[in-house]
Amino acid sequence: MRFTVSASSGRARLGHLALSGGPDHPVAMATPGYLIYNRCGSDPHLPQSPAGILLTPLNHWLDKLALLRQAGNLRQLCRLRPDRQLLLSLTDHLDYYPTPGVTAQHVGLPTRSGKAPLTVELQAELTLLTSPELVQPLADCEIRDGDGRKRARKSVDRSLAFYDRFVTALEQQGGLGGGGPALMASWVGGYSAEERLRCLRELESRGADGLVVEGFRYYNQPVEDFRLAQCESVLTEALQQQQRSQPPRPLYFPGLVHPADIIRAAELGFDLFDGSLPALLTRRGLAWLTSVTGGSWWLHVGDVELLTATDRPLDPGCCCRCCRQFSLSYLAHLSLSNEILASILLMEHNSARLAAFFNELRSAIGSAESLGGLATKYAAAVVPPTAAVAPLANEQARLKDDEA
Amino acid sequence: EVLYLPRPSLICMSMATSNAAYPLKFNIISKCGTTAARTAKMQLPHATVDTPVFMPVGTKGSLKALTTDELSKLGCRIMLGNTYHLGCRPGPEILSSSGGLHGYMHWPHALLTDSGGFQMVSLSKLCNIDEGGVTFTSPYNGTELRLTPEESIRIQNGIGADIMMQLDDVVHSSTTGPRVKEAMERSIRWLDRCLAANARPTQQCLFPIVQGGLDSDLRIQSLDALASRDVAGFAIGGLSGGEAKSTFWRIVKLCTERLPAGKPRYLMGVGLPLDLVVCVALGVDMFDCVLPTRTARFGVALVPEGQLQLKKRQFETDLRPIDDRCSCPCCTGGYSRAYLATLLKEDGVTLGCSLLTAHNVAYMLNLMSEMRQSLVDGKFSEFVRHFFRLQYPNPTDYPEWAVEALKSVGVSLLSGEDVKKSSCNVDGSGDVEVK
Repeated sequence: MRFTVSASSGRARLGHLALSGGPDHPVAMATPGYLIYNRCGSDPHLPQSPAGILLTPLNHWLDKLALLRQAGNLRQLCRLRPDRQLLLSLTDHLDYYPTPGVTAQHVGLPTRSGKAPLTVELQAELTLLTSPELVQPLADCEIRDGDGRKRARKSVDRSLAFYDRFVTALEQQGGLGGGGPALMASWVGGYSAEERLRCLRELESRGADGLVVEGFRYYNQPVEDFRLAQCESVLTEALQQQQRSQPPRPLYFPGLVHPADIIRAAELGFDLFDGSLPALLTRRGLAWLTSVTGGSWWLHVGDVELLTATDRPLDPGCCCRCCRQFSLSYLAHLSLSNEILASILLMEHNSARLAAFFNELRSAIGSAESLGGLATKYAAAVVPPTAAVAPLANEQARLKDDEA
Repeated sequence: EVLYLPRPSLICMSMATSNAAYPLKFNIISKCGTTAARTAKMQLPHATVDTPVFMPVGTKGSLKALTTDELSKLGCRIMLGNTYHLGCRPGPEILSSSGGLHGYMHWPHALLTDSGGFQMVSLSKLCNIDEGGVTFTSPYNGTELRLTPEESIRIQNGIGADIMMQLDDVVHSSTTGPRVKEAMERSIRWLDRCLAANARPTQQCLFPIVQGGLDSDLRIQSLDALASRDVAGFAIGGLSGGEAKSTFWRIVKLCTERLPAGKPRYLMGVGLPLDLVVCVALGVDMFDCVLPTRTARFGVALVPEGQLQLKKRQFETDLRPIDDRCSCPCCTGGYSRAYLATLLKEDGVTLGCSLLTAHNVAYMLNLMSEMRQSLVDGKFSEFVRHFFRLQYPNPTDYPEWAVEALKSVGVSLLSGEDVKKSSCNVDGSGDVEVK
């Protein structure tokens, strides 16, 4: 992995992340950028995930170990094309909260069938089975509202110990060196600025290739409720006291879904985000528009009033297939009818919208004025709370909703 | 700024100016020397369709989890839309202002719509039928609605499908007594009203539906009345409701023997691969069934040997594709049974459903394609025997009704050779022994 910075504006920076992906298929992305959200190797609603770095949370695979071991190769199993590389992370931030259950020996990760333990040895084995370009070594990412410095200290100590043991285990299994994955270390320490700073220094002294911000979102806090403001002061205090590392290391902040927060995080110097917003919006039947319409960035497509919109697409400013080929009326009809195609088309649109947003963000980093202007433009781009909007029907409802 | 233009009805061929009374041309290419099977080219305004054909069902204007591009790439050239659902929402006005269902869902090939009658009877809580039409409660909003022959055609004209179905007085195949005769006779009167109500006769043709329950005399009355109308093709109705298979095939054969040979025959709501093979042998040209799309949602894959229930334990580590002989995107893409099972069980991921739907639809389309090719090659009987050997490794498992039906058109499954065709009546009298 190679990460270079080409320009900056304050702490915000434009970068370039290059992965080897084998000699024939180098994968590169511009930063600030986002990882491709997927579950079990598949985009939730699209036939093929776009090219890029797939965010591959291990918690989805811990209840499928027999299959993984049988297949021997996750890339082969999931039919991943060479231009899709992997970041093997710990927990899917969209659907699972970091759940309690960390000991000195293992981290409990949430799966569909309950909590499953991840040990250093198991993670090393799975790293070899998945051949990721980037891996997040296991860490103590738990946080509860009210946890104090003592708990924060423990999470740092444990995480450092896991990190060191994981490095050793990988080396022993022959998985490091020139061909091995880059290590994205978990930056933990709760809400204690001192512990956060200590963790930062310890990880940089170990030569971690990059950092993943963890341990700010509380256990049982839904992803839409988590705002950057909740932890911004602790973050900036720690970042300001630490010299920016040379060579630069990519900073990844998962679990930030609101566009307003993504811009602010980019201003603080973060480079990578999880691209889970399209999935979050789509399963709630929301479309992210190119511009504020009717006072909102979001449009709930499953609305009977929209059936008469036969003369216009979902978003006139968008060039995705959904907006080029279909009317808003058809999309509303599909959504109201609980058709799977509604999710597919909506996901295409929302994915295209996210890509356009990040293009805009990167263009704005170059002058403080542009970035400030962008922050103002998207200040109200906050996903409405779940209770406010009825979601697209889930699979069970779809199965019941049958043709004659 | 992208300028969005509503799409007009896509590529309507020059059928509108043809000399035919209706926009359908049916040219038989090859007939089986033994059975009643035949292969033909059916020209419609939006596509030329090779028959025998299987039509997937896109009930509400979308095939489950498949885009129209994907469906087209599988070779599908005609699919179904459901008048009952589409008539309720979004309704014919919205559809006709969008270039019909073709423009609305961006499907460039042919469409067929049913009349709405079947769902009305099966889905509505209250349903009153009189000579004028049917009064029922809408499941969408509970209001009282009325469906008459004229209204059904008005909705179907708004949808704009190449082939429309008449509104018929639907009775369940298990119904007996005078109601069956009443329904059959009323359906004929409703047919004439539907024909008169068709506002787009040069762009959309109308098929009558043969009724009469399981009574051969009533069926003959219906057949004779319908065959005397100048229509583009014929549908056989009232036969997918769980009636005894031994009666089912006899009624199908009765109909195909009496319907004009030069026009297509559409057996509504049928069916399983086995049903398709037997009914093609009996002379049916068109089929529709929700089987491939519905089973995909439940994780069931169709294969020549039967079905695979992918969510079962035995497939959890099965790394083979569904069928290595299959050329669908799922099988050629190398997706294993185990990985598909994983995807299907993962909430909120649609790829598994898309892939499996594509495979199942491809399976059905390929089955028809193989039948057509065997007819062109003069090897249809061989194909039938081969099909049965794959589905039933043990010949004693061959379903009795299928053996009898095929024997009646000259194919002996068990002896491996074609036999003299025998006549067979619905009540069981005739050459073929009825057990």
